[in-house]
Amino acid sequence: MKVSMFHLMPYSAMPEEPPHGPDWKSAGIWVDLPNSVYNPEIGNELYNEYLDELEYAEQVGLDGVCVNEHHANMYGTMPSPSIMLAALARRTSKANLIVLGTSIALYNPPTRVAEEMSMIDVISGGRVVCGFPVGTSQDTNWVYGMSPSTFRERYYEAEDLIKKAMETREPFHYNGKYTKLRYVSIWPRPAQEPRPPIWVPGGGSIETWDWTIEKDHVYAALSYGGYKRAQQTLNGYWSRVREHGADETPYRAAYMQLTLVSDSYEQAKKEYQEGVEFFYQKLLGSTGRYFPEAPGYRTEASIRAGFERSLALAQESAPQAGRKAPQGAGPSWDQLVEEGNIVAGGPDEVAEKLVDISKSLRIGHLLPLLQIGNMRRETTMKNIKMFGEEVLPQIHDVWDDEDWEDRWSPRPLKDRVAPAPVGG
Amino acid sequence: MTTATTHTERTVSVRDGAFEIEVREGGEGPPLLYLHNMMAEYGWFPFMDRLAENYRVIAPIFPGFRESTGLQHIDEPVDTVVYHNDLLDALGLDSVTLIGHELGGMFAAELAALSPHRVDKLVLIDAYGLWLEEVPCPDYFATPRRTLPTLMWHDHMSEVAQEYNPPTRDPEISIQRTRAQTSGSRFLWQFPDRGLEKRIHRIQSPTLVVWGESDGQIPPEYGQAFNALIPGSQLVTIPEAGNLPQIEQVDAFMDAVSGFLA
Repeated sequence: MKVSMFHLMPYSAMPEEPPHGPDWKSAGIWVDLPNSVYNPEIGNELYNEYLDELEYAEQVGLDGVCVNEHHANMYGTMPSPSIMLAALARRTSKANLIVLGTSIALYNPPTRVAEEMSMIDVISGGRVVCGFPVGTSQDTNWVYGMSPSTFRERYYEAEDLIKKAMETREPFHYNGKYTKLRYVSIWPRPAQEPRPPIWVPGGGSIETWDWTIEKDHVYAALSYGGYKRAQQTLNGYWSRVREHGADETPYRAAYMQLTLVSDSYEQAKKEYQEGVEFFYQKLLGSTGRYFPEAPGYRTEASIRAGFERSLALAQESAPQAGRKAPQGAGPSWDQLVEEGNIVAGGPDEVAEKLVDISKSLRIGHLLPLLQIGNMRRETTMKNIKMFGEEVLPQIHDVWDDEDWEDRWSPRPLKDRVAPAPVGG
Repeated sequence: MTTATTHTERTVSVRDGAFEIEVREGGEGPPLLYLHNMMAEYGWFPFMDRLAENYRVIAPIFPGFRESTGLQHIDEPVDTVVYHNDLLDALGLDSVTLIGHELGGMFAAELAALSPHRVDKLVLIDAYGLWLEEVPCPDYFATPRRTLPTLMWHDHMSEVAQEYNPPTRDPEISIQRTRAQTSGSRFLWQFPDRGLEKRIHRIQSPTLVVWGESDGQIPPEYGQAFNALIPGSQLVTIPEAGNLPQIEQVDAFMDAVSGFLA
């Protein structure tokens, strides 16, 4: 199994009082969050700290590092994931550089994404994984102003054009609906032939499952909902894989898991509870109140499936009060452990849990989120160190006794150049 | 009061089946085409009965709303004009009296500007299509659904308002409403402005602009702006009405419109 550290790069210096509204829950942390709240001096510390953490993940043996894209958002401060990947390309030498991902419908022309990915692929000697999500509704519809009635079409067209631009060695024209380019011939071309692998972060829509299977891209389940809820998603995905008659190599699926390792469970709780609760209660708890999912962000088929699921759920749990709506402070550490949102404990119990999860979800790429909420350098570094040194060796070989093909990890150049030391 | 006219419902095939359009129709007389707003449920309202006393009222459902198909053939305002020309051809009508409300008002103004020969007279009711920097419209899509009625109506607690678009738990109605929102977002997302201001001066038909005085969704300044930009148009403001004066104040609306159409 390939294991790569995921980072959201949250802005963790949330003031007590929001600039507008009585509390953070109603003020919201996305879309119209005033940037007067953002302190660049703290930002300067955080960005550098976070990059240090990802670089350290390579040193302790993780296979890769993952960044992602959000806009006008407090829990993810990477509007341009390419910039982060570029910084990492120069300070790492082995790690896979995974962007999960670039919201490709937002770039005009989308060949810009093909160019940036190719540049980083060449700089890093072929270590890039491109992630092409549809993007959240907040990022795409609200902040970048894409009409929900056309942005899915834009997304499919952008993927088609970017892929073609990276794979094609002769100039071509592209007369799309949203992008019309008479001359496409990107420079540089990617180092990987014909192009870096493509992963598609997704929620649980059938369309996305089918599409990633047809395109032979990785399906990456990214949610803060944890492994218990992800089981339903991955079950749905794998049943589609079987229906398509595609091979069942676990490497076609990736999964992100919030993971916290210390000397013992008690110690983990002591060290990481604050960060985890900050993330779920403050950063996620006040997301998207005024800017919910735009109408049409989900397809009608997905909406219909959602109604059917909630109806089934309501019938199943009718005698009980049903799932309690998050109220007041939001979920506590204990609830999050119980519900499977987070995996926490001493190295052995975490490793055992992650092996179970990986087998049960059937994933070949595990993406532990190791910095959470307002965890700062020392705390996060301890988590990374213990994960790399004590958990990773116990989980790396999950699929080794089965002979599955991984078509979705980068294929770096054999004789690639490493960054030379300054003045060296 | 008037007696309810019977109305029929049928599907009209437009442009060799590129569009299959739900059409409601009632009354006899000269043809009057009514273009609807963003809402998903289109009953046959009392003001339609009143109009049907003197007109053949034809109310098509726009592509992408309810069961009408073909939105994939419509991207730009000019596509709506071509579509409405094709629709009139399919209905066998050379020209019509045209009433457009809200989103339908934007389409009606586009049609009247670019195909003036097909519009005898034009009525715009609380229409989208313009943007005033000094009076920004509320963001229709970011307005919480519970709050929207307070903008749409003078009195959102009145019986007509309560009956108009009631909360529902019916998944099919929810899906239809979402479909209407999604399709409408093609023309209204973030700004209800797709360049009409560059074309609106081409409107040649006599034009009446009707606006609800309490419209919080598209403030009355927009009525003044339409009136100023359309050559020779007249403006009637209806008191105690929001975005739907034809429903909230039927008598006052009919007084204004009957006088203009007579």
